[in-house]
Amino acid sequence: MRSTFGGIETAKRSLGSHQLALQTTGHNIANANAPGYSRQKVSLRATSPYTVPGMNNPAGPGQVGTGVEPGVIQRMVDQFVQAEINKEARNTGYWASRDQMLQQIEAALMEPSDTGVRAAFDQFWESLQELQKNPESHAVRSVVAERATVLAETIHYTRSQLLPIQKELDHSVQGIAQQVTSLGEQIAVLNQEIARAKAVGYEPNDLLDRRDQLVEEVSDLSGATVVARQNGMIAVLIGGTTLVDGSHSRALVAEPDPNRSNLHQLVWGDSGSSVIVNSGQLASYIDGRDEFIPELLHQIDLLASTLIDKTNEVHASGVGLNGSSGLEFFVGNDATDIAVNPMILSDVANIAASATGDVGDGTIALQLAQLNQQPVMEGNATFEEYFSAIVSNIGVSGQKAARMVEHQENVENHLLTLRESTSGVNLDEEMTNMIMYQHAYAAASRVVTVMDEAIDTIISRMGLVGR
Amino acid sequence: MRVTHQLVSQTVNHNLGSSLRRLHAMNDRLSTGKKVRVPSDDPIIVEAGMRLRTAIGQHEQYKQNVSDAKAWLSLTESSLSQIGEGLHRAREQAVAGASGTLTEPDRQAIATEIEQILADVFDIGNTKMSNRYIFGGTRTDAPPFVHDTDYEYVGAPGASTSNDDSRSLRYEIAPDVTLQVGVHGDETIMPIIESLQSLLHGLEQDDTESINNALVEIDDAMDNLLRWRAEIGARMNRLDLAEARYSDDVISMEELLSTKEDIDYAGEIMRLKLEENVYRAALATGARIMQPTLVEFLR
Repeated sequence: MRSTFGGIETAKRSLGSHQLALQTTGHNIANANAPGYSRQKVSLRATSPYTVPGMNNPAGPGQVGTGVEPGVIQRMVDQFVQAEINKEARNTGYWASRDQMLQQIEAALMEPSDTGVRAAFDQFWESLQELQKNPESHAVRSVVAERATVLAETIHYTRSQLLPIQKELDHSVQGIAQQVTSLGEQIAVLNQEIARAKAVGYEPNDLLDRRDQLVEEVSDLSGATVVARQNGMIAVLIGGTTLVDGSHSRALVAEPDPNRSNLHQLVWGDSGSSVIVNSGQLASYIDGRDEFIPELLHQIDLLASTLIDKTNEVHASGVGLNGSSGLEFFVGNDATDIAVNPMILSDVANIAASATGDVGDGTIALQLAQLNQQPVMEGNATFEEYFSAIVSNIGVSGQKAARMVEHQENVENHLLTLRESTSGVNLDEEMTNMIMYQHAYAAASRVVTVMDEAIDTIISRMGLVGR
Repeated sequence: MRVTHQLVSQTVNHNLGSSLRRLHAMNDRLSTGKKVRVPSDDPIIVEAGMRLRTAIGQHEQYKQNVSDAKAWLSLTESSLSQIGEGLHRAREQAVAGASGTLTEPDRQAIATEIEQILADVFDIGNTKMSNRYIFGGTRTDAPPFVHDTDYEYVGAPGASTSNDDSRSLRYEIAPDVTLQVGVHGDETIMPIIESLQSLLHGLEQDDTESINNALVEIDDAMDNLLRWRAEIGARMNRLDLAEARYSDDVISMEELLSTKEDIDYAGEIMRLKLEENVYRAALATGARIMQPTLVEFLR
């Protein structure tokens, strides 16, 4: 004997399941444009059948179906692609920030142009050549003093433009430390909620989407490695050290650097040990702030100090128009304070152009002018070659960064395409599904009606003979 | 591969972005006429450009030095030429004065003329160029030839000694190559002054033998002068060659600079047209495929 109301139960299960399917479809459509959303699919499956009970079975066809149930709501995601996206996010973060920093440095350098350090050097040597030919002329001497001042100021200015960039990088480091800490806390909270849901057998799909997004953000900022823990929780590591583990997160703190006055160093809040990052925006900022820019500052300082020393060396051996001798031409130590000797600025007759004291002798002026040919800089380079190399180096680094940014864009785009292909919502598909589920729902309602009429036949109209 | 609407939009966006980026770069190049704006555009071209600019500047400077040297030498040359003319006339007079047939007044007349020539020589010897004495070596602020009322040379604060090289005026006309501009007064003009003074004494004392000796001195001084004028001529030739060479070099370097840095307009505009077409096609197809969805067709 079959169950009387079994049919209605089957239809009822169908109604419920398809209603859920419709709801999920509606959820997908609503989130079609939400970034990081992975589409969800209700995997409908048949409920366990039952065998018609009876001795020595079966009196009729057996293993009767009992309807449909929604099974689990699946989240369509490709874990491999997600892992790759996290990996690439580190590189994207690193190169994008490096590219920006190098563009700013290039702007500070003002090359190629006729107003940068190179042009200032050239004009300074030229004015000395004129001095060699006409050392008696006050006008020519004034030009020398003027060109020297321009050179000193241009070198100083170029250096001073780099300091704000370094400061900005430092600010960014501080900002990122806060951001990463906050993200870590959010991931920890999500971990807890996900673990709770999984413990009772639910699939916290939207929470998982949200957590994936947060991890991606952390990766872009500071590089992140993900390790799975039990109950669906994860641990996130930065540079090999734990940021989040399960429901526990740690903080990154930016402390004032004891060795460098207005900069900061990053340490872990709880242990005080320094933070090591090797990818992401943070790595780029730290590298720029602590390696690239200081090296650049050192090179410019070296250029200035060598200019000061060599010029003064030659100049001290000469005699001015007024008989003065042994004066410095440039004062200062390096690019922070290079300037023309105020005594020369106030009286250009103090410029020592002559070797013998004769007013028409420009031997010392010539020697000064010839300094531009001397390989006085590191690596046997002239002033011009050394500066050229500085510019070139920045250009090459900048070119590489720009190329890597483009490359990363392409890689990222490709990965996003793959992710979108698996996890993205296709509206046409959802529409079609919607129609499918709608029909099934309508049909199920029909089944209920039919069952109802059938039972009604038995209940209301059976055995009513003659009434 | 499963394609979704967001994917289509993303791709359209990405491609439009790339195309727009290329158009932007092209626009940049066409408006500035330069291939590079910042070192990272092409570090090699930028470095070459910097080197060339510096080299062009240096060559222009050397050209200027050569030109200034030529001007100095030119004035020196014409001054010596004037002195030479005076000396020549003096010689003629000396020959006349050596003859025994002249009377006392005649000899006086000749002496007066010689005195005049001597005065001229002193004047020319103190020639200035832009307020600088040209025959005094590095002592350009004091006259190299000073005389008393009898046109006796009394030395001078500006007198240059030719055997002291530190007193020579030198200009750099090429890296580490200097040329002496100007000549020392003592080598070129002093012999002339001395010979004229000898002549003068001889005339005043009516001493034929002295006059004849003076004639010999004058001849020697003349030879010396010619030798020095030839030397100056040789230096001028050298400078002419250098000037021409620098002019040529500057032109080639400027051409090279332009080749490296400037864009090829024709090529760039063609590429612009191509890219424009690509951009338009991307826009059109993007618009066509992004819009229709199934929703429009369901009742």
